[in-house]
Amino acid sequence: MNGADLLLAVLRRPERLGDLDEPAWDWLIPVARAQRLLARFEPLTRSLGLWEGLPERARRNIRGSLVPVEYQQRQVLREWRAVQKALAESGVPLVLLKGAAYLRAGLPPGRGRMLSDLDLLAPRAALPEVERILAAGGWRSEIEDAYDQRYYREWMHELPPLRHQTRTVEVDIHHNLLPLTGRYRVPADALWEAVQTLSSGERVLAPADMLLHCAAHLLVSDELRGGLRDLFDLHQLYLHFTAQENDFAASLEKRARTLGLGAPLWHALSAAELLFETPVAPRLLDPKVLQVPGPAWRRNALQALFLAVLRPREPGEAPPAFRQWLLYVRSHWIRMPPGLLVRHLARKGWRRRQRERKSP
Amino acid sequence: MKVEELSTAELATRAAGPGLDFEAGPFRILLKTRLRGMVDVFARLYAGFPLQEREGIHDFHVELIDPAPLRRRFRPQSHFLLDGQAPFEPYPLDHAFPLFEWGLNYAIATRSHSWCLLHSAVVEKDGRALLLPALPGSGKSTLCAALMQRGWRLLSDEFGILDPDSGLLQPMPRPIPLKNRSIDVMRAFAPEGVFGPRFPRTRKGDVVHLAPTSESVARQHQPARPGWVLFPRYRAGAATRITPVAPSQAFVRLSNNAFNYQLGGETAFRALAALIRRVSCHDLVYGDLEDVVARIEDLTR
Repeated sequence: MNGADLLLAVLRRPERLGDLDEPAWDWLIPVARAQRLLARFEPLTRSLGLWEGLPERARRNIRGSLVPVEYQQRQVLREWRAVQKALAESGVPLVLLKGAAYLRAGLPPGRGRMLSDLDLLAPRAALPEVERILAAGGWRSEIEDAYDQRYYREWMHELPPLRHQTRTVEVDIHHNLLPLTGRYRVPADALWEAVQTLSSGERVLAPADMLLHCAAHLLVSDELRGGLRDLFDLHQLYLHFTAQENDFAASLEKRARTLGLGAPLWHALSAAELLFETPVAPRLLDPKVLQVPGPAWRRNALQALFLAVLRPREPGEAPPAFRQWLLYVRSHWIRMPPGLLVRHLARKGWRRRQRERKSP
Repeated sequence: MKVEELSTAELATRAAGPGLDFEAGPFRILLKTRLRGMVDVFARLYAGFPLQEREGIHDFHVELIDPAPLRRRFRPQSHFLLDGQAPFEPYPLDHAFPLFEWGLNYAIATRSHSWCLLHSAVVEKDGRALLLPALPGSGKSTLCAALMQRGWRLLSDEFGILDPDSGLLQPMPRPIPLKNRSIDVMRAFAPEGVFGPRFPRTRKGDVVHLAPTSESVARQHQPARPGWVLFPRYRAGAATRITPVAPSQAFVRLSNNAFNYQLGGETAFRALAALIRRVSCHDLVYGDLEDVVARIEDLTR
């Protein structure tokens, strides 16, 4: 067995982490590290009572990778408190998205997961006010270029990323889950109607919506490198929500229709079922049920591409560059109509040339 | 089996095949390379290190390769690979050994966060450790090399590896890189030392490595209790001067200069506070190696 197979095997059944000998750990650690999943082994094995029994050098490596993860989690939560404080008076409601939501809602993927940014959802009508208040509080956009500013404001689903002058965490304020120009149009009102309030008063998406966001993000983001981590989030969310809620699969199906995210859900759940043996309800693996458009060959070709890029690789093994490029092209294709896409890529290419001329 | 028990041919075969498997203090390293010059220098400077025979977990899988054999003729290079990835630009081929040393330090500093990593040279006598924390250019490598050659055990010339659970410092003896003028100073001070070849014009100037003493290598798994912190500053021609430093100030200096103090949060704070409570802290200005070594002996007696 190689490190990549071993990683999938232990993610499927984390209790196997208790049975590995040292040579197996020596294969596993570099692959898990490259997929940003090494730090998760501590919370995973602790919850199974296996942590103390792991070889000491394995624990050292896992802990060494968990320390920066927990540091970054503290930084992001601190940023969240600062944003909350700044916006408290305005009364603008904010919803935590992705990693910070998992963390605050105490969900399994929150433990040992690296957070890069603070992702928030705000009502679109409130964005100018949010931007004004945050600017007054010391947050700045690092995007100065007028074209890039316009790119975010008109075509994307978020404000240009903000960063407080004295801190490092990037704040991304979204008004929708996906770009406005794209093929999937998520009705933001439906998200807001289902929003859940935690006992702390913080807001997160409803369970099904959270999982759909995870799936959509995975399929639409322009690089899938390290996407295995996000797919494992989805796997953990699915396991957790089905254990919590009687008919979670049914509500997931219903929400997928309401939000128009059946296709990404189908792709993500099918991949999770294949790679992690997620016990997905059979109905949700049926493309007709989730209203996946297009002919079967196209769907299957995309799925094959997606799996090839997600599959973990051995240290030093080259990534499937051509297939990654195809997915990159596709991610742009679904985010923008063709005319806009041509203009956007031409503009980016032209600017790159200008930059290269300036800096020989 | 120790590195010195193998011929360089046997060592080269092993390096090109399964790899050179060795421990440096708490870390286990698997080094693979076909670069013959690299193996020759390794054989000299890591002579006393045992090679591991049993299988096990390696903290660092390192490869040193010549990335493009075709360009060898006009500009040969060496690449440092960690888990198959190259974290930085290649070096000239004949600088493979300094690249390995530097790359390994980079790997330790960016990954080994289960320890509190202070930026400090550390030596030990009678079970008590002396920390010499400082910025580059302060002469800490030279001073710790001098102390090592006069009977102190080398823990590390770069990392104060503090175990937050036990409060003890972990050794990680490795060759000490001497730079520029320190090279001749140390050759004159300790002609019996085991010196490596001269690497001219690296990023940090000319470099010659001094091998750790055999006692330092033999006791590389024996931690030491923190005893003293001396902040050294070399000043040409200056008389040795040792002045006390308030513990609070020593704490700030050590934490600002550490590799991962911020990441460690409360754990790092508690570990460092416990260390500061156990040690006496001084500033040290020196200009003469013989004199400063004698003064340190007096201070720590």
